[in-house]
Amino acid sequence: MSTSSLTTRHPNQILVERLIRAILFSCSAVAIFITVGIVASLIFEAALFFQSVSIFEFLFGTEWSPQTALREDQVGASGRFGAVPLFVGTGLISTVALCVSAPLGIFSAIYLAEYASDGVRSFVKPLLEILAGIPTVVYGFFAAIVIAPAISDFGKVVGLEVAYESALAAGLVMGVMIIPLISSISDDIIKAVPDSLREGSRGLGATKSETIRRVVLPAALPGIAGGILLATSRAIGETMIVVMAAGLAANLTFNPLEAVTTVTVQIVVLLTGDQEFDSPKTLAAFALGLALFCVTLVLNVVGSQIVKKFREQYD
Amino acid sequence: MTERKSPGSLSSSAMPGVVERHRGEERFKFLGLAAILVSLSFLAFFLVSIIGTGYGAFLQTALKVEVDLTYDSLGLVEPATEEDIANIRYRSIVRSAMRDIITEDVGRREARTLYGMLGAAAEFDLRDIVVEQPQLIGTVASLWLTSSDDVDLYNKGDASEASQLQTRLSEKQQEWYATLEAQGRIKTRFNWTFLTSSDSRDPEVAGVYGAMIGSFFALGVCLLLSCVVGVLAAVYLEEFAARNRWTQFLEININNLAAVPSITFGLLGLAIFLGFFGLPRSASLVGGMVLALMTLPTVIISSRVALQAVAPSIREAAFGIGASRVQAVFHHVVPLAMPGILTGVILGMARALGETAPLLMIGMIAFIADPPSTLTQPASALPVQVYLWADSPERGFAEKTAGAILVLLVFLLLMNLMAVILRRKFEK
Amino acid sequence: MLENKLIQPLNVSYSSDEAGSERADEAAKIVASGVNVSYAGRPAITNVNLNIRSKAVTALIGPSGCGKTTFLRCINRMNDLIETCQVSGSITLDNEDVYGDDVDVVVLRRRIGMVFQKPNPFPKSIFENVAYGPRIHGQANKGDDLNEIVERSLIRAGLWDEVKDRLDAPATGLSGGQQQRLCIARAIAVEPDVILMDEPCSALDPIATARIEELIDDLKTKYTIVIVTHSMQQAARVSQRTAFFHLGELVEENEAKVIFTNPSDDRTRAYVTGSIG
Repeated sequence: MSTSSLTTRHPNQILVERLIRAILFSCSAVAIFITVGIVASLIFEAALFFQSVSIFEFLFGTEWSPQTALREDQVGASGRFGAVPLFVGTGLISTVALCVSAPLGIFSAIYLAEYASDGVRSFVKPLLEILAGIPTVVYGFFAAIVIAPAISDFGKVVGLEVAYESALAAGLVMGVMIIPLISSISDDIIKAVPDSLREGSRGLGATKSETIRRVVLPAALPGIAGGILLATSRAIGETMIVVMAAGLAANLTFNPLEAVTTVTVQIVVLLTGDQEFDSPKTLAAFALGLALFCVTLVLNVVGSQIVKKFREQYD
Repeated sequence: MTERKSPGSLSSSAMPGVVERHRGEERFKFLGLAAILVSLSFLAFFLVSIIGTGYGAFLQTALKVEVDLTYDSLGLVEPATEEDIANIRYRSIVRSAMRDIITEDVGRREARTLYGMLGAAAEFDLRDIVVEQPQLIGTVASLWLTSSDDVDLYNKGDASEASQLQTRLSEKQQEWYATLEAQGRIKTRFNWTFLTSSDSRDPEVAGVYGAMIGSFFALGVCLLLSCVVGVLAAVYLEEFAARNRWTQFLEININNLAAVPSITFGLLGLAIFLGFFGLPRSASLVGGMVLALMTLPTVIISSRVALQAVAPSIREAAFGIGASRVQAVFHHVVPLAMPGILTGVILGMARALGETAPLLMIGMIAFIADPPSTLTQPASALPVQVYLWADSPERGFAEKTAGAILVLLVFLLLMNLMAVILRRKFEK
Repeated sequence: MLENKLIQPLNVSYSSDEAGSERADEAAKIVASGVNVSYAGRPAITNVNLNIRSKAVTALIGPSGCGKTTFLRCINRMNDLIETCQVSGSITLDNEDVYGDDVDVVVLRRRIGMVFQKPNPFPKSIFENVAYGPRIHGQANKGDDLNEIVERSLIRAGLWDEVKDRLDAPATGLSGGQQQRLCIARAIAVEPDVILMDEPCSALDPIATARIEELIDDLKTKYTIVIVTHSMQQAARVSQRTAFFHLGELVEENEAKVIFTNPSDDRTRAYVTGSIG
């Protein structure tokens, strides 16, 4: 048998290499399996749910009371699964959160990117990042024990009736949690705006803040908007803060001083009580999970595409 | 004297509105600074209030009592066997010790409130002491025993009127407390119980040990799975995969997974691990698996960054001496990228340690009084413990909750410090 | 703005027979004396003395890294933006020290405009780009005044005919040469006395370059222009006076014709004949 001297690797060695490649490949495919698993399990359970509750009622119904009959022979005690109050509640709390985090995050980013010295920057950035590293359950505790009573008491002082589990309290604390996310994306984006634009503006006699307000920020706006979409997705999917600080009862309102409940709160409530696996109550959690997954996925894809496009634009 | 036009034609006054514009400049800069200060003051306020509430959890109040352990009063015969010691009725010993201190005549109902000042924790204390030091039997020992939760809160609370009003001690008990204090029978000591015992219905004996073990088990599982799979996946994507649609799809997929709400992974775990595979509820094994799913994308992304940072010349050098791709990657590239990979893994683990929502989904929400000894036993976890205690109406638990948060934050701090040190080393 | 009677006479001994320099008694618009600049302690230019003539084009030439751009950016204090930059000596505009204590860079830069190496239109519409300066300086905020300024500036920059139908189109959609002319329009919209140009054609193709050069020639009737260029041909084509920088020093300044045909310094000769640089 004549093999060329260039192909004399031991066949076992080649086999081992192939095997290793196969293992590596399958590890990377795990990521796909996870996605498939999420989508499949959500769709499967949600489909079971939609056999007993119409998808139309779920998406557009305005009454949410998932208590189902305790005994099978009970009449008229079937739950109502109109998720609109949950969607509205989620939106309300997320809006409060963004109202807190967007201005604070963006202005922090402006200061860090445009004004702060390197020393201040290297000191403040990690401090802000701590806010993102604190577990959400801790924020939840803080919201429920410190912020919510404080807001409620303050309301009494000024003569406003503020629910103890107001959307305001949960949203406020959630906003604090999101500040670093917005500030770090905005900081990146602002830094990516080319210096030539700043020079052009300064060269015309604009002050630094005029340059930032009229040139840098308008140029950075699309990127920052992408970052805010990502932050929105984070707010919508946040669970522990709202579980601990928001309400449990579905309340269709746009008033942030009232208690509202959210999609994630209801998922937790539906799945942590006594449960049968196949009751509509349990399955409803998966339908909510599916809605949550779809909305956050769209926000993430769109948001990260915008941010990516923005970076490429000035590369 | 130099001839100067005053004010100069280049000064601020030469152009209308410029002074106001400079003021606007200061205002704008101040806004930025204010945003940072507000954000950081949230952080400061937050830490101060957690530490302010939580430090008390690490302190406990002890009362000094003379415990009559003579054979006569125990009704035992010398020498006491181990069985004897186990059968001692500690509760009545503790009670009579209290009766010895407060000598005034009290009725039955009042006596009960007197005994209430030394609760279940005191009995456990006494038992532990006697088991450890059997030589005490036959003597009258002067011992410090843990007070009840109410006395503890009364002691730790400041003497202000508000906290006096809030206390659950009766007036009589407050009187006794004053007597005990005057006799120097009250002290505050470090609360080891909090770190060595597990959850309990009684705040004074409740601790985080069981939750810490549960978290440790879950993190172990998570580390093993996400580290192995994540690093290998990153190696594949970075070093082996061809740049084609499939890898692009994989990348987008991984990036999106990293941003999926954590509760979704809990739903996946509930449907697949519990519903489909029938794994046990509340087990740290399943908890770890769910956390692994969640951290996997983060680990893959950070490992890829670490691999990208390895200079291409290293690979070329390895190829140059005849190494195969597998050899080049595993002998040369991966070891060099290891500190960076580890940094990412540790940060991923830190995130997993603080995560609560997915664990609730797979049933890690039950009251668990004992630390788990296997991966499949029902277990709690630190953040879940925080959630459970935060929900508890008993006042003593507010302090314990903040205490558990402090324990959690210390662990997170240590993990982040490790990551920072590794990164420093990596940058060198 | 304010006329100054204490204008230092230029110590020019050459006769100015060049077409662009009609008057014999040209005024010095900008006078630099003893200018030193260092970045983080490292000297970039040393002891530069230069008079820049009013309503003429002065070209700064020299090999890269010779300090010509550094000098240019001292004139409107753009170097202030670099923290480590230290400037000493004096530069006067109409006999008033640019680095004086009460000088406001906003006012200074309104009077000394700048055009950069790479066209840097703002990511806004063509109209908004030109209107930017007048707006921030409050010269015109709305309506007809602003329209008029924008139109006049674009006409003067030779861009009007090409863009008058799409003033609302994004400026980034223009070609490189158009973008650079837009930047010139943007600079002249605030009615400066001086326009500094930092290699304005280095990113452009020859045809666009030719248009900008023509424009510069037109503009000199109204503005004092200082242009940094790495192209000797360009300097010869557009400038009346040329200054040669080498290793942070101003070697020689004279009528463009003299610099390119009969320089007095050997280094200048070596550069213009192509043996250094």
